[in-house]
Amino acid sequence: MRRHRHSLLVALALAPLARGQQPQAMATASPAVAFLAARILPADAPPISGGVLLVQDGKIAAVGERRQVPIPAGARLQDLGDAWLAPGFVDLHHHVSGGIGGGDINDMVMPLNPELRTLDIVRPSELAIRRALSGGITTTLFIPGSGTNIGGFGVLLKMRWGEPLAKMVLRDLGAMKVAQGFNPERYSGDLGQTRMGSHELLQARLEQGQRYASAWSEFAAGRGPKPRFQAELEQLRAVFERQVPVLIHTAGARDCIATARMFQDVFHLWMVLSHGCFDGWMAAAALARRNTPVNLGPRMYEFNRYSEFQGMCQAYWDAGCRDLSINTDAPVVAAEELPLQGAMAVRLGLSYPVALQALTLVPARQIGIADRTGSLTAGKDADFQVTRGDPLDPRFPPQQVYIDGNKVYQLGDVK
Amino acid sequence: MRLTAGVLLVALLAAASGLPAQGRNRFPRRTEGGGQPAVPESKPEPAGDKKPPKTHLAIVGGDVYLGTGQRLTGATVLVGDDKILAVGTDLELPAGTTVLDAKGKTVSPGFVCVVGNGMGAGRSSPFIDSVNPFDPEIKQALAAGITSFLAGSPAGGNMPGGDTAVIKLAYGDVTGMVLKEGTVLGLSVPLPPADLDKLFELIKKTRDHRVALEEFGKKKSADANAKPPEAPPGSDKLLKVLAGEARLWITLGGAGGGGRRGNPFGGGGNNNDTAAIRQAMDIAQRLGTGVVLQKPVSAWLVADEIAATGSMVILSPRDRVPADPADPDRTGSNLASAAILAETGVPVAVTCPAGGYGGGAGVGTGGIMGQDLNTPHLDAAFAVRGGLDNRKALRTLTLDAARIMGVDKRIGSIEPGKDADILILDGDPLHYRTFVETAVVNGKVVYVKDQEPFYSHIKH
Amino acid sequence: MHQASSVCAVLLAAVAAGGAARAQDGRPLAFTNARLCTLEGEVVPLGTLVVRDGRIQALGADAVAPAGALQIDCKGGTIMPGLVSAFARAGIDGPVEGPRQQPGPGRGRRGPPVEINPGPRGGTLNQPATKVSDKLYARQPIFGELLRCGVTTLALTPPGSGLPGLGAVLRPDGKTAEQLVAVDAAFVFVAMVRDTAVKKLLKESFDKAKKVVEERKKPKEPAKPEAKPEDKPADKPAEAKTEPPKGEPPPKPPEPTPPPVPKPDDKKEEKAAAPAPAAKPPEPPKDPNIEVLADLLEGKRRAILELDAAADLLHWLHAVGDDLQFPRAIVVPRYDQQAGAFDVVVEQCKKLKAPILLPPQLSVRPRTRYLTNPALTLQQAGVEVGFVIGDHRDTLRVLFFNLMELVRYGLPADVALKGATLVPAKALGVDGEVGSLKVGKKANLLLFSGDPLDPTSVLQSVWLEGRDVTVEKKGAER
Repeated sequence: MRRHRHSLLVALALAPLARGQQPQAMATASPAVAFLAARILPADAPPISGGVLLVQDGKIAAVGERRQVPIPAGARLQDLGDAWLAPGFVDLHHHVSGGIGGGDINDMVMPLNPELRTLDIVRPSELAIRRALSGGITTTLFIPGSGTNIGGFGVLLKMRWGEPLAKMVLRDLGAMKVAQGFNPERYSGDLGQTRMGSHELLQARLEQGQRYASAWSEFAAGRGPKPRFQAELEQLRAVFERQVPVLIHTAGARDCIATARMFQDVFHLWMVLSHGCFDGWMAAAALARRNTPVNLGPRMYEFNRYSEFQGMCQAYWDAGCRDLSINTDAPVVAAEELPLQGAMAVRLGLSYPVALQALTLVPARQIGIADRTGSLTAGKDADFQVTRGDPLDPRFPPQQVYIDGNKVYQLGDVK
Repeated sequence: MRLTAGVLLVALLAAASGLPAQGRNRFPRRTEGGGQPAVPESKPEPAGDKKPPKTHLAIVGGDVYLGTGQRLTGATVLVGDDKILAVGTDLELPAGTTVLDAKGKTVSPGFVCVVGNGMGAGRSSPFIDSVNPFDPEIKQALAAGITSFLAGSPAGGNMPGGDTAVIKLAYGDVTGMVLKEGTVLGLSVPLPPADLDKLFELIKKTRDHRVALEEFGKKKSADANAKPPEAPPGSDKLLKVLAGEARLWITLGGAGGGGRRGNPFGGGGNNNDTAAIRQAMDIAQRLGTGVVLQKPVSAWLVADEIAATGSMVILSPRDRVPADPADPDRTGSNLASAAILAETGVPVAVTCPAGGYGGGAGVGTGGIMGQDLNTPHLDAAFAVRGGLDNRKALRTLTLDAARIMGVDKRIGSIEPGKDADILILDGDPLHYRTFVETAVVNGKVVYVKDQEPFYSHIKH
Repeated sequence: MHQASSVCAVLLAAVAAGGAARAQDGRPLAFTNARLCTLEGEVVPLGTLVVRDGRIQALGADAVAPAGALQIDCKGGTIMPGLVSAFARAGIDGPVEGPRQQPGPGRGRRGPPVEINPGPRGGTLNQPATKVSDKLYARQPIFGELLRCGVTTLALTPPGSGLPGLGAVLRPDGKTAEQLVAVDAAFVFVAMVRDTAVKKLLKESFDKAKKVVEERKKPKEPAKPEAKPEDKPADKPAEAKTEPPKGEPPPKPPEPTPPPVPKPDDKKEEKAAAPAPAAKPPEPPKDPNIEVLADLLEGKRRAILELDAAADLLHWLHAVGDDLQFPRAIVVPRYDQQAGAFDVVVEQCKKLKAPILLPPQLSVRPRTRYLTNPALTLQQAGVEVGFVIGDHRDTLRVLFFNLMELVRYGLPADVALKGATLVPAKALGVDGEVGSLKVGKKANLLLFSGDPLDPTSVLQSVWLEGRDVTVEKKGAER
């Protein structure tokens, strides 16, 4: 199990509220808001018809059928009519929060750059963030590119467009971005033109980080001397202390197995395997045996040797990979088209509930924020979207998007 | 063999139940009463006295979307040879009719794509000589619901020109694959003043020549020796446009014209092409007939002006050009563009996002679904996202697209007399999960989902 | 005495053992203990085949070797007719770039193509009256190679697209062009391409030819007394003469299929003659190319039509019309799955009523790995199917393995073997002379150690007109 510290975690003094129970009286000034909707998709529970979402102090206080969730006195009612409510989407593979040009995300001098982080290049006023809101995305992992084997550390952001950076950041070190094939090979001048070289570089650096982390933990336990402080390894240390996951860009069966072997079998790290395209689905059974978390996209199919549009998510699911999320790899697919990615996965055979979870609960869990967001559950942040119908259907854009109970987007904000 | 009388008045039947109206009318830009020249109704050519058809095909019991915006539930479409004979309920089917059961399914006109690459099209005109009717991409396109598309390039030069043909996906039939050649001409604006003047002059001469031809026609019936008027040089193509046999497509050039989402790693693109649109409208006015604007960024700002000339618009709703907050003139694109234009009565056709990673206007096999012609219905869906009425959205893929290509007398809707290009779908045509189950082109079944490898393994 | 006679005996034995390399001495040959794959009915499991003067004199289980015949004991091996290649360019003069290489097996393609020497390239050619034999260069080692691969008859196909000329039939044994050419101007070659220029040419040419045929059918003018005979051969290359190869006995009555030999047409000469003093407008000059096509339409000639794909077939029908009939065979040198292997146009193939020669290979359904057997599909639909065996040693070496594969995938064995012999012979119009084992036909034979379609069989000897040509004679003329 992973142990992780969340710097912004609200104390869980609040007991998780079961559906239909009386919400505890809050000793705060802000009134609750009760959103009434025709249909609510909590994502971690079956859909609710004629439901109410009760929001207070930026959190979901309660969610359930109207007759089961009492609305406290003084609560403001927002009757949304025939609207649907769904959790805000979570995209773990997103490159455009620093600028849609994406020019800043690949520093390609050294093959390994675990000291870098995208926290330094977030642009809160970036139009792409607002556009992501227009697609209902409320949380993204904004990561470096795949031009090098370790691109740096991505930052976990709430898409609070235009607000101060501190309010957007969920976690400075969202994940370490590793790329193991199908892009970093273009770097030349050092080892890494072949998989052999890139694996060797990765392995060596990871071992270095592992040694560094264990030296510090030995010291903390009083079993060893104080190690020399090495700034460039500090972030890597967080990975080995299991505070920060690794998100690996990898595809093809060979590379997917290599990724799982290195990060799970050898280093036992908290990791997410991202992309998994081309014939990666052929390795899915092996990944399923290891319970590898997979984050699939932007390709949603492989056109195989028999002219079949083989649905990728479906292939992974059928092989047993149940820890499955979907991404856009923005800008390859526009950031706001994450729900379309889910729709395409459904088109190619994935079941709807699984697809919905692949855009919400599962990626939140994979990146370690499932206690904060990813479903409409009492106690979580009030990150949700209001649509006039199926949120995966491109015909139904979000009418409004809320993050932490605040409306951050209204239909028409982005043309 | 008689058809029930009332059946043939399908077009006058009140729409039984339209699609649920999508999106409230958020955009109060409505022209009351109009005053603009209405886009001429696209009625198919009268049947005349033709021989009775040899083979019959009937699609029975489905939810039929006529492509005009109307829908009939539980209706039958009767096809004779390669044309639609009738649509309605309680049709009598001639003996020997092949029956396709569409109960519980949806029936729609084949999708018409205003841009397309590959898919068996020939290399250049005359397209009919190099068309490949066995191209495997044809089957793939039929699986996506496409039955016609525009091949070639309406090259935008300074004078109307280009090399195009409307290709049908009539698998296995050479002549059936070419609907019409040279039906689209291209032009680029803005033009430098000298070229603009030349164009205006040519337009004027061609219009005069057309009048002279009409008069000559009258004179000839009286005087057999009347000499035909001499055609001004270079006027032959424009003459076709004036006669309604061809369409003039205008590429809005200048800085960064054309499809703009293309470069995902940079802005680029002209985020306000109002001036170019206005020049195009000027040309349309001089022509006296509407033109087609290719992917205008700012059409939503000047929808009234476009409607006033009877012009039409091609959009890729997902191509976004951002506004420049520092410069109020740089207004950028608008997802609601299709909706705004439709409100003012401008016919709109949709096409898929340009190039980039998406693959462009072809049936790619690269792995990214939803960005190319494997899912043409999604582009109409994104127009709905921007506010276009769901009922009207199918027209962006059918009748209005056919109008924009100048072939609406032949295709684009399920109406008696038109070509029998029909799809049987397993759901709402614009839903992301819907697949084509059967595709009929020129009255022949050319695609069956279960018999082709593409999607036969996917069952919802 | 004893020694001499034993030496003679040894020599004779050597001669006999050395095989019939010396059978030119006029003695009849008798192949005994042979399995006869006649391709004219059932296989004869054990029999004798007698050759005299280069032709088959007798064959069958009951055939008896005549006295004085040189006997060759086949020890149960199989004799089959020599191979016939109906689409070949061996011996064409001009820059020969070597076998035309196509992109290797990529996604969905299957196996290397049949390699054909490309010959000189050109654009669309309009010269159906030109004889390709004019370009034949006799002294080429390839003919010997082809012989030893078992090809005893081959075409000389004009290169280029459109109407590149009149092809010839060759016997690959001779020093000079005259020796090589068995039938000159044997077929009109039409190379179809999905292309405006070619389609236009074909349409216009055949339309004009149809008009000429109509003209010819009109009642003739009464004979003019002073008709000058036009006998300049240059004016009328359309008057192809079929010279029987020298040194051969006159051919036996031919099979029903080959077209009648064109006779010199007196009436034509008359028409082209200078008009009598009466004020008759001069006839427009005849286009020899169109005359050739008119002969073709009248059935006096035959044609070979090259199509690369099913799409080409449809374009051909589109260009010249569905009902254009003339004696012809179709040749398909390579499978182009992107434009349709011929199993997608079975109905149209049936209507053509012509033999179709396909590559001797399996194909794939486009963009898949599902194997298809177009030859089988067409054969089961009733189309007469044969094979393009090419003119390159590498392809011919594996020909029988390819045929084996087709048989394994369902093609009847006799269809496979006929496809490389009798059917191409029909296509070339020489099936009266070669292509099967029949009394009267030329003794072009292949002797295998076993069944030709058995992978362990070896091709032991090749016989051309009764002569063993298997061994390359050093220094001897070929």
